[in-house]
Amino acid sequence: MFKKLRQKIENVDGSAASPVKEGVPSTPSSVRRNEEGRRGSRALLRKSESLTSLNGSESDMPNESSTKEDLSVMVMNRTAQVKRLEVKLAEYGQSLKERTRECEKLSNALEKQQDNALRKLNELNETYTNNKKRSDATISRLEEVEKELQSSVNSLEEENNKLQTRVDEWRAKEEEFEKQKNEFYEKRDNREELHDLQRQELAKLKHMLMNREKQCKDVQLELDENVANLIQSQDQCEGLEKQVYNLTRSMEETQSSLVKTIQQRDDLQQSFEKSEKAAKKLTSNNVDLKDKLSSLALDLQKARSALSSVETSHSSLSDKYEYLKHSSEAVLNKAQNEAQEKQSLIDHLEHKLKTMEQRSNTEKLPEDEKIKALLDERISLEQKLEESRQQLMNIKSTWSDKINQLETQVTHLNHKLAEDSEELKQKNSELAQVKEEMNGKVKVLSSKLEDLEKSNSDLTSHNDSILQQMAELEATLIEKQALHDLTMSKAKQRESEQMEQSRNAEGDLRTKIKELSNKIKQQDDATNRLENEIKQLKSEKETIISSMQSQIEDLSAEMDRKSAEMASREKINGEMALSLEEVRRDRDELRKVRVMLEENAKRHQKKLEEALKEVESLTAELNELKEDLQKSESRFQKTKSLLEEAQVELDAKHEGLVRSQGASEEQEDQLRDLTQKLTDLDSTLDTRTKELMMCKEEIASLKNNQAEEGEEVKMLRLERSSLEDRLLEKDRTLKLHQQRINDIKKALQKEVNKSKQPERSRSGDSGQQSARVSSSRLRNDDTNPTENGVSRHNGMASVPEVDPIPSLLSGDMSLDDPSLSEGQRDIVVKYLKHVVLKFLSCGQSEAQQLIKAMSAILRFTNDEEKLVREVLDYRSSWFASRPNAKSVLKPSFKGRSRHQRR
Amino acid sequence: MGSVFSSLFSSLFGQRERRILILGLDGAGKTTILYKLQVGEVVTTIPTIGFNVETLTYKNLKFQVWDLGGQTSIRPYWRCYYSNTDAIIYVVDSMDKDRMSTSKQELVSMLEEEELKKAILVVFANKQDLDGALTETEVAKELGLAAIKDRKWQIFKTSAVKSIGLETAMDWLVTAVQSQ
Repeated sequence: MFKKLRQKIENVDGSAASPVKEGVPSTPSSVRRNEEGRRGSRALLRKSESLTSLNGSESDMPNESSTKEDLSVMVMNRTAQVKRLEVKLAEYGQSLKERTRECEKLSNALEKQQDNALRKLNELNETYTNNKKRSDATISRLEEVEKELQSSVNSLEEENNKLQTRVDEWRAKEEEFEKQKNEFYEKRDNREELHDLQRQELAKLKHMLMNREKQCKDVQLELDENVANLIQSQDQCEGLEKQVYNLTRSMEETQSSLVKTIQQRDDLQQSFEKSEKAAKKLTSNNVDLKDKLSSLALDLQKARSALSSVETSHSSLSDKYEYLKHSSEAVLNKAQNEAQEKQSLIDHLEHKLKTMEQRSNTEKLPEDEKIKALLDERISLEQKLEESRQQLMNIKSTWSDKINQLETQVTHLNHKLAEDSEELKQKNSELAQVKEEMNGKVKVLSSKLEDLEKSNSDLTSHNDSILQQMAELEATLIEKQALHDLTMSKAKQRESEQMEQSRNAEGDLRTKIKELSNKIKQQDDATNRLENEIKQLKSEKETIISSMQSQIEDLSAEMDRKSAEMASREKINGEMALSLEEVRRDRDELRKVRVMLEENAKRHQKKLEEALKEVESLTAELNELKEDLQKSESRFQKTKSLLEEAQVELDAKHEGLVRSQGASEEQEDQLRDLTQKLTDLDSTLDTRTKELMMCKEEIASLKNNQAEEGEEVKMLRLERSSLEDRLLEKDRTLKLHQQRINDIKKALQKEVNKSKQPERSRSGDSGQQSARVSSSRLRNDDTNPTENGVSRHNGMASVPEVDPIPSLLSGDMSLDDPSLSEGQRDIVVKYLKHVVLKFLSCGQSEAQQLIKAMSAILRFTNDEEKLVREVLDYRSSWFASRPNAKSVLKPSFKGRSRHQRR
Repeated sequence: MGSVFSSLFSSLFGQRERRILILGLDGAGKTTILYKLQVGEVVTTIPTIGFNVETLTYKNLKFQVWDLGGQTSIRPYWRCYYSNTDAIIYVVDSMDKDRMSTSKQELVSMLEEEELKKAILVVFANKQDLDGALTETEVAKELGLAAIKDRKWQIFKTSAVKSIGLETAMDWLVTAVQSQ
């Protein structure tokens, strides 16, 4: 209503104000125009005034002679004037309007011009700035250029200085040049003078030349003559040259022939050299061949020596004998040759005798003839002598060869003898070794026999001990038999069996021992036999060795003899040269010697054969002995194996005995156990029987009491069940109490925390908390257990057990609770944030619920909570008055706490 | 202004909004049940630090359902929401046998509160879709529900994920609230 009124009033005011406002020029430009317009109008007014003043002056004229008509006319005039003036005014107004329009146009144009000017100015400014930038850039460039130019100027100055120095140099050179020029001019002048002088002298010389030419012509003539002479001489020369050419040709021919000959010579030399080379090659080949031959000969010799060595080393005495036979045959042949020679000598001598006879015959002839015959004989004798000398020389050579051969044979024989003796020694040593081995074996066998005997004795002693043990066992067994008849019989049977077995084993062992002893005796006999055989072999060997030694001695004696014979033969040879008779004797002796040698050879052969046979017999005997030994060894091994087997059997039997012993012991143990068990069982039986008796008695007594006790038992059972029920109930109540105590403790802690903060303690705890604490205290004060139990039964029968996670439902939690951990505080802060956000965003019904939660978290006091509620109500309701927040929330600058103010 | 009018009208002429609290230990499935009841879909949830409030109409009854976070440190603030509560839906994880005693303890201490004396109790033995879950009778035995005498209560086997037993439970709750 009022509003409408107000609006109307406002509208009226607005309408009243609006024309005023409309009258006011809106823009300053329009104001300006109006002012201009006014100025223009004032100017016109002034003009009009001036006009009026003129008109006035005109009108004033009749005014001086004024009447009423005049006055009316004047008035009429004046009105007409006024009308005119009005018309003029209107005209002026029109003109004014035109002027104002023009003015406006002008002003617009001006503004446009101004705008243009401003734009241009801006453009100019821009261009200026651009130019400035460009100019700055150009200035910088120019400065750079200037610097460059300055540097160039500096360089140019330096160059200028250099050029100035050069110019100075040039000037110095110029001066020098001028000096030279002056000198040159002076010299030219002098030269001209000299030219003149030269011309004069040239003329003179021309004259002289003319004279000379004349002389020259003369000389030329002479020269022509000389040339003709020369041509002639040249012809001669050509002839001579031809001759020379011919000669040279012949020379060349001879030279070519010479070259050919030289070539031929060279060829010959080459061929000579080639032939020489071939000869050298041939000689070298020859030498090589010779070397090869010698090497081959050496090889042959080596082969031969190897062969001979092999033959000699391997061959027995038969081969040696053949050598000897050959040597004897050779000796025989030599003797035969010597005999033939000697026969020829005898023939010679007979021939000589004949010649002597002829000589004796010729002695009867005249002396001249005698002399001639003697001379002839002498010549023939000399010839024969020479022949005989040659024969002797031949014989000497042959003998020396034979002697050498014999010597080699002797050495061979010596070697063989030595080898034989070595072999004999080896055999002797072998025999000794065999003997020693046999002795050792015999010793080993005897020791083994002793061991066996000892083992036998041990076994017998063992047997005795076993027998003793058996007897003991028997004794024990008898004792046990007396105690336990049933087991006794079985044990007896077993024992008898074991006894029999042991006796059989003993008998077997004894027979085996006897067999073994027999075998040992047999072995002893065999060893004795072997020893006898060995002794026999020893004696035989000794005899053989002695015979061999005698043979060797004989051979050595023969060798000595042969050497002596050789010496004698040498002597005979020497004598042979001296006389024929000696030769004959020698022949006889040689024949004898040959016979002797043959005999010796035969002997040697026989002896060698004998020795060979002996050796063979010895080897056979040795083989036999070895076989015997092997046999005895095999027997010995057999007996050994038998002995080992017997020992093994003995051990096995021993083990069997031990086992039987162990079994008997085990049986004994079992028997003991059984007896013990029996005794135990008897005792238990007794106790059981006693117990049974007691039980029976008890049963009897119980039967008597049963009727009486039945009722009591039932009563007791009932009591027990009831007591158990009570116990359970009490347990539950106890647990409940504990829980409550925990709750109260928490509440107390909180109260304590609060009491530490004096302000809040003063304002008092929140109504809920105080109420809860009081209630809990009240509950705690409820000491009557029966009532509590009843209440429990009414509420919750089963009491919850104490949970490992602490239940926080019972206590209240606030944000500034010191018991909160960091993580819990975080969660509480999040929770608060969520609640506040919801409170601010949700509807009223939800918000009413959330005030409590907020106040719980932020620990609002009652007043604070109330304030929040009031504010919420005020916001939601229309007519509620705004609550005074200052009663609760005090400004901080007053320095008083809000609680004091309340 | 409008909301104030609507609240006034609803309070004067329409039926009253019934307040229901969904309580239970953390991870029992309270938020899932709330949104299953409201939207009819299974939503993925995060641990509730705080609460969720939704209004839902079921058989012409309006419910203001409060789903309070069940973590140990924020369990004490449950008591701030107890006033004017018509019914409590107590959700139990049937698979969590270890914390069954804790759950029982919380339930007992909750029921002792004066503000909840007239509240109807509905226990949801939740997560019945999993193998090895305790049956409703076993859960009732574990929680000692048999001892509740002075209160209207019922236990249902439910599975918010497989939507087992929620309708029957809500039907029972509606009838119980209407008869109050």
